[in-house]
Amino acid sequence: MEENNGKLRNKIISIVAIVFFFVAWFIAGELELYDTQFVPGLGTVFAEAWHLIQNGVLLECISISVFRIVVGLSFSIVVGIPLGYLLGGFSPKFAAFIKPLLKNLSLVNCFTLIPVFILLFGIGEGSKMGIIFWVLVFPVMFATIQGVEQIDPAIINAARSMGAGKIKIFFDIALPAAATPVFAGVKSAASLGFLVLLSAETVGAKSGLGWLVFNSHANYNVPRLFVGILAVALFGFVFTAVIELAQKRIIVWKEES
Amino acid sequence: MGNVVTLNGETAQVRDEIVVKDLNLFYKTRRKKGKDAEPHEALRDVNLAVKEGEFLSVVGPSGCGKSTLLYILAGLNKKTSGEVIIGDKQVNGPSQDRGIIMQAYALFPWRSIIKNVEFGLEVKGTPRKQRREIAQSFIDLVGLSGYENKYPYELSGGMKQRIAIARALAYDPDVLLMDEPFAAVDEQTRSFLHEELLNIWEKTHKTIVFVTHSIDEAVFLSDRVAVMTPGPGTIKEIVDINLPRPRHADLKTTEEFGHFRTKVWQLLQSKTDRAVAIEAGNNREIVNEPQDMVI
Ligand SMILES: Nc1ncnc2c1ncn2[C@@H]1O[C@H](COP(=O)(O)OP(=O)(O)OP(=O)(O)O)[C@@H](O)[C@H]1O
Ligand SMILES: [Mg+2]
Repeated sequence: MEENNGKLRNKIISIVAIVFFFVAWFIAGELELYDTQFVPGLGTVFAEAWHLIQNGVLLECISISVFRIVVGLSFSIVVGIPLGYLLGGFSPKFAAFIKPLLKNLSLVNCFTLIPVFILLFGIGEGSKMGIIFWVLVFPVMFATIQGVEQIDPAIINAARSMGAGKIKIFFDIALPAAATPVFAGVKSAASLGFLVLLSAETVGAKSGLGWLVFNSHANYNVPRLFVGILAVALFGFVFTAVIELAQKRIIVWKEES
Repeated sequence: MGNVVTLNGETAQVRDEIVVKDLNLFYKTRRKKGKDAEPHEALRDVNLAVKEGEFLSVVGPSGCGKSTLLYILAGLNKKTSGEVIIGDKQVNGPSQDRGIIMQAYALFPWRSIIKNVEFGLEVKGTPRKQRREIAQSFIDLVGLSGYENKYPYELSGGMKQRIAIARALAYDPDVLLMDEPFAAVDEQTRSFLHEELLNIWEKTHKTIVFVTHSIDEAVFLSDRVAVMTPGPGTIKEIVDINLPRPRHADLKTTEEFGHFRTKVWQLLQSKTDRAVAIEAGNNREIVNEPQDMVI
């Protein structure tokens, strides 16, 4: 109960701080309390945002970025988690053998791979999502391997002693028993993916939030630059909130047997 | 086969539920740097027979191989040589004719209490509705009605162990294997759980093999107590506990109880030279070899 109260209080304090920050920014901008050439007032930024909403640019940028990261992350989950379970669960010896190779592969700088991805997937969306996939699949897979390796052997033994076969143990024991570390892996992969997405969009893209920021900067459109930055921040916030919500929905228990 | 005198004075034949013959087990080990691997002998020529419906405890110094023996009975550990027969069948792996209860509860944290108890029935293929009913009846049996939809983390240690017992009973195994199940609960709860376990045993007629460190616990619960030697473990002697049943906690204060307790204690004290040598120093480093099939 007290813990909950503390959490609520912290939440209120941070909301108040954010509101205060924006109000201060707005007032300072309106009253021209500082040089608004480099940091425009919030009023100006909102006016620009309204403009970009009306001509559809902002929505298009956001939706294309969402699309890219959702597809890239989904692919890395769909590939990384089963692969991690297979490597960690069914053949730990093989996993120990192949892990250094995978670690090295994961360290290959994704931007040096852009030409390869363009060759493989063409110049369009494929290569961008390919990069995101490439960067994210490894952390997801490693987290899964680790999660499976960490499963309490007593729990596996309990299931085996009740006659459970390999398939039942895989789906009913290994899958949920490793869920917490797997989710942690997905979460850190998601925030990493977010960074990669933004930088990938500044390199070769003509759309997306990363492009909006980069292009505004190149054209000295400072209010638009700030709309981009705020949109990125908001996007990141919503993105993590969605993943955390999913985690809360799926993991309703506490790790303690 | 053994002979048992029933209440009306007749002699009835009781069959052996568990037979262990010349059982040996070596663990793979790795010595400290630079030295060769040398198997570690955990059990040597273990011979044991447990009668149907019997309550047998196994006591012995730490590391003598009690858990190892129990895990072999459960089919979770592979023996090196010898024979293990349960019911009429050779033990080749785990099966639903046995249930194991460990000190560390090993409940599934992501399953509600009732779903934990249902696990063995799911494996068995029992239809959902029946599963619920059976699981509920065993939750009632261990006195935890009302906790069906809680999760393990919401239960105390003693409650968790009762659920672990319910989970092992639910799919109706003939043999219950218990590895220091009450070592982690407080004295009062333990005493309460002892009587409860005896009640359940009398109701369900299971054959129980109960591993423990506690001489009192072994004597209080058992028909017979098997005393093991320090590692490599062998059965040193089996003590018949001729105490009347049903037993209640006040039995522990009686002279007869003290007699059996002293007997078991003395058997545990007399050490072999080998045991003294082992206690003096053992530089073996024991590792868990990664197995090819973890799940
Ligand atoms: N997986 C393993 N690999 C190698 N050696 C093992 C393994 N498990 C146990 N041992 C060794 O085998 C011997 C018997 O162990 P076991 O766990 O059966 O003893 P125990 O009688 O149950 O001890 P305790 O009373 O402390 O629980 C010990 O010397 C132990 O170190
Ligand atoms: Mg043990």
